[in-house]
Amino acid sequence: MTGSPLGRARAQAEAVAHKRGPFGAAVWLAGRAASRLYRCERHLLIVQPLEPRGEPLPPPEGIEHRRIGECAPEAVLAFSRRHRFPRRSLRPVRYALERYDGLAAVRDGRVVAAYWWAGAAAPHPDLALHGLELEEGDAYGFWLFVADEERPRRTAAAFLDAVTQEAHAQGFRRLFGFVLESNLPARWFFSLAGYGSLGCVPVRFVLGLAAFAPTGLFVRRTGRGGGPPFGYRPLLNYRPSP
Amino acid sequence: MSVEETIREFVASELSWPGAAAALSDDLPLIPSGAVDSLGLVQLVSFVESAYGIRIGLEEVVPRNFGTIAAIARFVERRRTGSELP
Repeated sequence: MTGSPLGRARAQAEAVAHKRGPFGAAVWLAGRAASRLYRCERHLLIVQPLEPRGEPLPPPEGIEHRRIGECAPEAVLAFSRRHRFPRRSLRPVRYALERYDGLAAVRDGRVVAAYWWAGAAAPHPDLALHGLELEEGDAYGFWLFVADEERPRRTAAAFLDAVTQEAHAQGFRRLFGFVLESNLPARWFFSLAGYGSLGCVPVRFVLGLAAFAPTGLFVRRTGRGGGPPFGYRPLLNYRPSP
Repeated sequence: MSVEETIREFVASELSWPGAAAALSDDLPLIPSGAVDSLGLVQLVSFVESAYGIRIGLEEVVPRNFGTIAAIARFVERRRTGSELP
């Protein structure tokens, strides 16, 4: 598959046409185009108290847990490019520049799982969007991903346990985050993993440039004028409690 | 076969639990122990629905009802006896 956005879209459309026929492909393309113009997401805010636990779950054979800063940068970039940000492959570098921390699961030198978090000293742009204000001892976790091929190997449970242990060892006492309300597997998973729900924030994205939420009006960040060059910057921020 | 045994058998055989079914104790936390992952949880909920003919609401998948095998058994029992409605 070609690496250009147009090439990827074309390959995807061809795959859909092969599966659903030309009409199905047309509907799919129209849906994709519409979602670029306007998209509404409901972000369910979650929080987990980080308490000392017993013995950590041992990682599966061949897996090593490392702080992301200790991983080879090219391995983190390759993971990011493979699973999340094909067009913005420098995003982990930006995270590192923002002093965000995180943990990675590494197998044979390849990153197979990652989770980032930001403390009150290095706030994340999503916080304003979600109306969250971190206090001392709070962390905001984002972009948790475990490679599909690791699923049968039970990498995720030991990785999440290691994340909890590491964040606690760094002095954090609460870990915030969000899941899409429509993502039932993730919602159920976090609920059974001990995360509590803080409520839902509906966010409306327009043209990928602006975001409207009960917490305020936001515009996409560009990096000009300070702050991280990703996420959304508040124009009007009401910041109600979630 | 009891509800506990049925669930244990399902987790061990369908959700790739690497150990013996007997190692899945009734009070083992299913998610933190790694016995069930997010997609496995969906399979488990679907299995409980079909095996016991009950409808499970989206908000019912919480630790009290699905945290352990024993919790699932109690939940199924409550739904069967009608002491808890969906």
